[in-house]
Amino acid sequence: MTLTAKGAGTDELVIAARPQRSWGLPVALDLSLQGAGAGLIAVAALFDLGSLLLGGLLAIMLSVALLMGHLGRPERFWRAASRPRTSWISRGVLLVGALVAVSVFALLAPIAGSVAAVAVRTTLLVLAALVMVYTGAVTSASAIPAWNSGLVPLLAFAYSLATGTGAALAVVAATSTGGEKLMLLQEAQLLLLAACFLVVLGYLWSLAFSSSRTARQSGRLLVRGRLALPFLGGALLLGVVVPFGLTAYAVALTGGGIALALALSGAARLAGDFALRFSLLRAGLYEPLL
Amino acid sequence: MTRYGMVIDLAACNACNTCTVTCKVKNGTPPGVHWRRVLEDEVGVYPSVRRLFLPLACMHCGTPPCETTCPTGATQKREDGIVTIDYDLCVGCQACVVACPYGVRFFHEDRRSYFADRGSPVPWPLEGQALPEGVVSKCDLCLDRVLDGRQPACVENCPTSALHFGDLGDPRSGVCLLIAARKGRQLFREKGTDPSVYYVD
Repeated sequence: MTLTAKGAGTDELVIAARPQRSWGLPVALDLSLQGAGAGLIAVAALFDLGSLLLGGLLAIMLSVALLMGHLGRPERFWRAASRPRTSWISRGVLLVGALVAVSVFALLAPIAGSVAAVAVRTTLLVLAALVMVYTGAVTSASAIPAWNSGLVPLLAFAYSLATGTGAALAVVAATSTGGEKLMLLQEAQLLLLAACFLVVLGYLWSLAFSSSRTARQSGRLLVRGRLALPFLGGALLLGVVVPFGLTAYAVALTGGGIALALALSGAARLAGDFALRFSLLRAGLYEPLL
Repeated sequence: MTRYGMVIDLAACNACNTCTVTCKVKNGTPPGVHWRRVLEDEVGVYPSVRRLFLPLACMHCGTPPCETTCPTGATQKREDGIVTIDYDLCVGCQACVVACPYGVRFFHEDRRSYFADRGSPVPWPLEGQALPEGVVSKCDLCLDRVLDGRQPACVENCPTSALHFGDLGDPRSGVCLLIAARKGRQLFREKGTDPSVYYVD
């Protein structure tokens, strides 16, 4: 078989790299909200900010509702938990279910005892971290070369945690619930955003030098093609650079502008996180068959 | 052990799409759902141009990525090698569509029809089970016909005998002899999916 394939095309009846069309806007929103909610719960557990739990829980519940809309047969959603040994979707359903259950428990029955409270917070932290990783791993298990990268779960984890931290910062600054914690969160956010930037660069590097021509094509779509605006403008500029500048500005401020700066930073994070998920999903291409 | 599979003779295929139409007629798949289709391409520069045809359907992989990705167990590999979907278990998450490197799985979103005011996508009684909405579907090698000892509809109707069906587990079967004689090759063999469909030139 000495056949060669032509360049990219979108027609399903042509031998060429095909764009995936199965997962789009609803899935991007779902993964983004799920990651942000888990990030917020992780921050709440790590910094002992119980008031943030509700926000994280609501974000996750909203993501579940969006996922139901995406499913062809939502009335059977519970069946999706039956194959955790091999399916990332099953693992995600179980992890999200456990995270919601423990969060509800922590909200309804706050534990005062030190050992039990630490156990609940640790459980929340571990589950939230796994959910954040899941939001990337679920796309890694696919036939799409650009998604088959260990950097995708790492990217999802970093972005989710930074979005959760951004939302936590906005709430903490608005409600003035802790000066020391606010400063700690701000410093953590600056580090997280720097990490996000590095992981994005690493991911783009891995695409650019991938042995798969299709993965390189996906990389070009993200940087120079039709997805450059949502990816570079949304995921990188709005999602990383702008929040970094606003958070650094808030660190330097001492007056009343902090809450506004951090609220804007949190909103930019949310938008940037969504832009990242959306552009990565849209950049997904299947390899040409010949 | 029986392992049903197919050999496709690319030299014999002239892209008449009889297999595509036969599949639609037999299974009543709606618009946009092509369990079997023929991909086309052109290579070379005028005047040295060649057209390429690639008949394509589910590969019924030995290690199907769609099966491991399916969160409900709706996609299953039978002992005879045929990969099937249980429509009663499928939730329509489309993880299998994304996991399949061959692009042969289709999400059936709504009840579309080729004919106005008809519930069925075809104006005659279906030979097999009607395709429900909100699930993923694909070629099942005409399982009902195979269980009756018949060949898949596309194989039976191919006018150029480009499609060959048989038992890959029997080294004396026609398909195995064809693979050995003409150096049959699998698509994306390097991915480790071990397709049950071989192509010969």
